[in-house]
Amino acid sequence: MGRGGSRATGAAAPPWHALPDEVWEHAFSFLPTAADRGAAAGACSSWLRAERRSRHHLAVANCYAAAPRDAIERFPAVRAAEVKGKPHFADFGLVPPAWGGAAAPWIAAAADGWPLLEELSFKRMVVTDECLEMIAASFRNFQVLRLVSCDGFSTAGLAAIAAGCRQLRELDLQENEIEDCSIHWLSLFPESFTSLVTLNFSCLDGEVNITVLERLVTRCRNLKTLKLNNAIPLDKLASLLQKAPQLVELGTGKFSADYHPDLFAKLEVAFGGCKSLRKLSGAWDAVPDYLPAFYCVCDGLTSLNLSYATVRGPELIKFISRCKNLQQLWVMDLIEDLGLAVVASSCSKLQELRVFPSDHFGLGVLTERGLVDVSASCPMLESVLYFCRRMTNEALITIAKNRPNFTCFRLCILEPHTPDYITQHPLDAGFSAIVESCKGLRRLSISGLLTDLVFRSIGAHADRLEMLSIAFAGNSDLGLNYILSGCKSLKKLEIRDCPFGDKPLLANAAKLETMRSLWMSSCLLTLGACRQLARKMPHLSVEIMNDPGWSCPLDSLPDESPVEKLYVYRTIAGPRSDTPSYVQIV
Amino acid sequence: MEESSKKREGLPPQLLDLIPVEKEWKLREALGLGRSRNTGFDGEEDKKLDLKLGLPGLIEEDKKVTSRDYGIQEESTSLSLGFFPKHSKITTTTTTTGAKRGFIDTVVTKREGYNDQKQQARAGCGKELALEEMIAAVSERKKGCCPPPPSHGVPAIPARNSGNRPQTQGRGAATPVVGWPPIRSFRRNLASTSSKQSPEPRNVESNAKATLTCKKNPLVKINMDGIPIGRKIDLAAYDSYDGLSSAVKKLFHGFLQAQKDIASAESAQQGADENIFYQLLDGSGEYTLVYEDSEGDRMLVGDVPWNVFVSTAKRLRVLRSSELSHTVIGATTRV
Repeated sequence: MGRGGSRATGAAAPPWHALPDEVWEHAFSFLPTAADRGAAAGACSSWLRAERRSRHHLAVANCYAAAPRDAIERFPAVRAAEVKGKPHFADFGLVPPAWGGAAAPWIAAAADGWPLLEELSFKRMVVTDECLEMIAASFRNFQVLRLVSCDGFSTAGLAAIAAGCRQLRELDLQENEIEDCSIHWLSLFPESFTSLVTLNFSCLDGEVNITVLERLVTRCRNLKTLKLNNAIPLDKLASLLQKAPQLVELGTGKFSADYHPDLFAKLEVAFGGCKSLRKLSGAWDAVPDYLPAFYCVCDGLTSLNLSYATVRGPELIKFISRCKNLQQLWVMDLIEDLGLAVVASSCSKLQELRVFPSDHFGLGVLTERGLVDVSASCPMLESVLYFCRRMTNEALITIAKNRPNFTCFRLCILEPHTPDYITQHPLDAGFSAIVESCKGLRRLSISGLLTDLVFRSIGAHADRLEMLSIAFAGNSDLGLNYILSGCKSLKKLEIRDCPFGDKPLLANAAKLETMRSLWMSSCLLTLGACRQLARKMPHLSVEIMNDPGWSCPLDSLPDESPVEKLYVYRTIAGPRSDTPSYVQIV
Repeated sequence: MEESSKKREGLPPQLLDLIPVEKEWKLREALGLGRSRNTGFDGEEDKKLDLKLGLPGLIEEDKKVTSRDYGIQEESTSLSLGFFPKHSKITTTTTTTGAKRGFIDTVVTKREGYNDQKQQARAGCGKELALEEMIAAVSERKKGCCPPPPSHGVPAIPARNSGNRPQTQGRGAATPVVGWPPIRSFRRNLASTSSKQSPEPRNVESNAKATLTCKKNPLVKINMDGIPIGRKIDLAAYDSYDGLSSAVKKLFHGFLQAQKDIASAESAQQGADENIFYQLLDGSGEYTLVYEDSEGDRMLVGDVPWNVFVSTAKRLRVLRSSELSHTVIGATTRV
């Protein structure tokens, strides 16, 4: 960007002002993140113009932060959009149904303003069959549909997509609630349709026509990702694999079956043909006898999701120990400490570990030991989600020392308020060690017995922390105050069942505008504070949720009324108009 | 705002005066807290924490009841805040030492403390409020919108406890706290007694949709040795093992009849059919009923209570009793 050659007088504009927008647009295409682009757009009006006109990917992290029309007006050239709706705690049942997060306004606006839209991704939103029909009808170049944790649609909507989206490459349905209308949606992909690269219907309940699926898989030669649902039996899996040996990512269907040597042999051969397989998931009700059929792919696997497989014991460990190149491992706690020790010694490239709880109380033995072992031996480990029943400060301190490179650390001790089981102390020391050591920590979930002190450490040290989840922790308002007055990079804060009240909220009201959202439920908030907050901060939307059973008009309630659930988020769109009766905007 | 002003003469306004003096708070924070974070307690920090002597953590309080098996003093953690300044070290090991020391003093007030502390933490008072008012205020929280007049009894609090507070009887038992542990509803049913069969009360809030009900349908497959085609049976339609047993007989009666006609018949009488299914459940007849449970193990039908059986049985099989010795019952191995 030189000034070379300019002989203009001092008062003339620098030459780069004369550069056409296309040059800036091209330059901006090298900016790695949306945040960078946003910063560039803020520099001057010509950069703003160039940036917004050339933005092709838009991520709306909170669907209520801006109105769909505004987003489309500002970024007219978007080809891929991602919108998220309900707060994260909705995943665990803390948000009653019909809260909001409808995708329809976004799709309608997009149909109007982004006719060339190619990709849509919705997370935790309500997507109806009409929405899917509109997508199929409005975007002639539509290629990628990704729905994560959504609900509101049925197989009828899927049928519309299958029939209408001629260029579809990806249909990725993750953990949605899909109503089964017994429509054979798969058959609606035309015979001429061959462009599928990703097909994931693992969350679908209900039967699927296997023959149709086989034909689809056969003619889509570019298919790389196939994730089946629970209705596909093992023998069908074998024949599907034989038709698609080029698969890179596979989600098996139902994995249990009576052991038959023929079936085993068939599976073994099928898997043997899948030389490109790198990611494996599914395996519901996996019967250990069949696991050895997978052995031939173990070496190439980079991602293994056995978190739905209630497999235990030696077969599981034997299987995982062969996966020397694993980068991502999701398992149930049935793997136990022993299994994790094997993981630690076998999977030196492990980057992400998630251990989910099973319901077998006391039957399994998964303790802090497993996590300590893995963090000690896996140098690239940076993301952990770990459910366990006991923990010690010493273990956490050791983990922190071993793995300062954590970017995501989520520990959930199943029983709230569980202290260090050896010393009976709170786990403040352990978590403090984590935040002090892991300078790049972006996401943290804490649990166990915790006092305000842990929040002091977090507030002081967790400079890069963007998302913090707190439950059953802290002693007083101080705890929340530490967080809100520290944590420079905090974007999302979600709190439940903590003794935090009005004062820290009001004292740090300005902080809330620098964050994306705040969730507080079962804390000690009063309506008066929420009213004050809303008055002070016009760019925040302060939503209060009461038990759907009671819906008194907000105005009639006194300031002292307790607030059970609070959801605050910044928005330029003003208060939303689609609130159900139990949500009130202060 | 209310405060235990007795402790604070001569101190700059603290946490409790935040609203009108927000800017000052931030300034003070920069001076006070900022320093104390890095170097240790300074006087200001001490004073703040001293204030909290009267305001121990609430949530911990009701946990004392349930965590006795830990034999610990969670309450002490909250009160220990007041002890720290005396040790003047901000290392967390000191924290825990303080915690221990606090326990003896506070264990007495453990139970009564709950209501007080709850109200105190909310309103920031000392113990000036009458107990009834505090309880009322707490129960007000539960009632939600229309606050009742004071002087309620304690019952409101246990109500809240049962709803949202975990109350274990022992270390292993999970208790139904809403939305806890934080896992998706898909995962809750996995390793438990039945996948997709029993409704989870915890999920009512988020997934109270019709779609869930179709997952509860316990139609299980049932196969019989010697008959290539299986049947499906709705376990929920029966209320006892006897009912199941006669249903099984009805299901396969026709097939058996057909097969007996084809095969040589030394016992191809009508009455013999009755005998075939007689003693299905105790292994003494010609056939025995077994089932595969949610863990994949083959189990003999009849050992567990009927409803447990209904929720754990994934499929059924009518085995020839002579085959039983070749079959390992209860292990996840091949048959």
